[in-house]
Amino acid sequence: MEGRPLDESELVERARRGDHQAYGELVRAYQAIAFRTAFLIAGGATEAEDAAQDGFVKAWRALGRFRAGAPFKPWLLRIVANEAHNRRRSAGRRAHLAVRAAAAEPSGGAAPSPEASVVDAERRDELLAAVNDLPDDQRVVVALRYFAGLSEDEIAETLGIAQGTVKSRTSRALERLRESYG
Amino acid sequence: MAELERALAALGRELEIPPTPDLTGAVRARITRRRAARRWLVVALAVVVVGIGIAMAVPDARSSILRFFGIGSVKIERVESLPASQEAPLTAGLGKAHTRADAEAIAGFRMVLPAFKGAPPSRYYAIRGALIATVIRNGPTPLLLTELKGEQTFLSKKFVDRNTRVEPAQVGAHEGLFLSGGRHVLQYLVSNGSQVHQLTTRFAGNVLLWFDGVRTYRLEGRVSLAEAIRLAHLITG
Repeated sequence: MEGRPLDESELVERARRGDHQAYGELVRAYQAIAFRTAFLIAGGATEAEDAAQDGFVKAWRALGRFRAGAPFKPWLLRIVANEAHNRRRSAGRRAHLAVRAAAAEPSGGAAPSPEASVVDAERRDELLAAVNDLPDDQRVVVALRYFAGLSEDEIAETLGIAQGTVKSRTSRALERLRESYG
Repeated sequence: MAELERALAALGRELEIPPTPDLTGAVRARITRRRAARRWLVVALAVVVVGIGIAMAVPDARSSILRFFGIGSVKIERVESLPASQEAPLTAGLGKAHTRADAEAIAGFRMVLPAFKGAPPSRYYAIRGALIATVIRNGPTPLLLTELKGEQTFLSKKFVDRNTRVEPAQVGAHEGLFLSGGRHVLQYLVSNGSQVHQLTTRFAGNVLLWFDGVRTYRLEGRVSLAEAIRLAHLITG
């Protein structure tokens, strides 16, 4: 089997037996989604980095309790999300998302027209403002669904809530956003 | 997918989300340290407690500590703002120079040094029972080599911005960390029983840290990671 990359379950199993290198591979594979999830919850780069790093270290210590064969990503993200929630609470402020500076500039391309780009940018800004104004439990679900690309069951596992709760929060959030976005 | 959901997905691609930092080095250093030296872990926890006390006593660092981790007897803290610091020679805070024999007598252990093509250093610095140091030269470049024994001493690195890189470094069989870029601050903090003394605070250059399970090695100066590792191999193999 030489040269064959290890799959996730093999890496997890090796990590459970104390293999640092295997766990390093898992960190490398999941650090982007862990950091993004933490950022969307905590709202700050430093808090997100700390939450992700501490989440990975706590997950390592908790590997003995990980159920063999279960998906690693949502289990890890639940730990990271807890860390991010704690940091946001400590900071005592809401996460406030913004668009990139480059994206904030209307496109200079041939299509759509500059006028259409300005309109699009305005509508995008309105939508983002509406997302930022959502109640926190709905905002986090929306952010994880549409900005982190997690599935409903992954969000449920990450936030430690029922899948039905994810659906209802998403539904209520979309209803509020439609009122703003049209 | 409804138009609103498409707009949300598009919005997600335009969000200001910082690039993902490489966490593998820091995570690996933390979990390796935990498993490699159980005894050290107990000591490290005590050191961290003392460290918090010290940090709280430093006005500039109060309420600004974001994270700390470490290797061997060196503790690294990430803070929002640096404590007041100044440019100072590599040996600032280490006291007067001694002969090697005298410095080793003060430190209580022999210094591990690389073989030298020319004359070895003549000036050594020591903190009783804790630390020994000397300046070696890599061509024209001076480098401060510090060796720390056990838990009586720890150094604190503080760095303010994301330009300071902390990356894993492997020195033979030993785990290490390499700090480069940005501006960070070095503090010598010596705990003597229940009392803690802050010897100096100064800006530091690139640093390679590695820990062999007994002693912490620290090589500081204008040096790249590859060159620092090459030199480290000459010291501990």
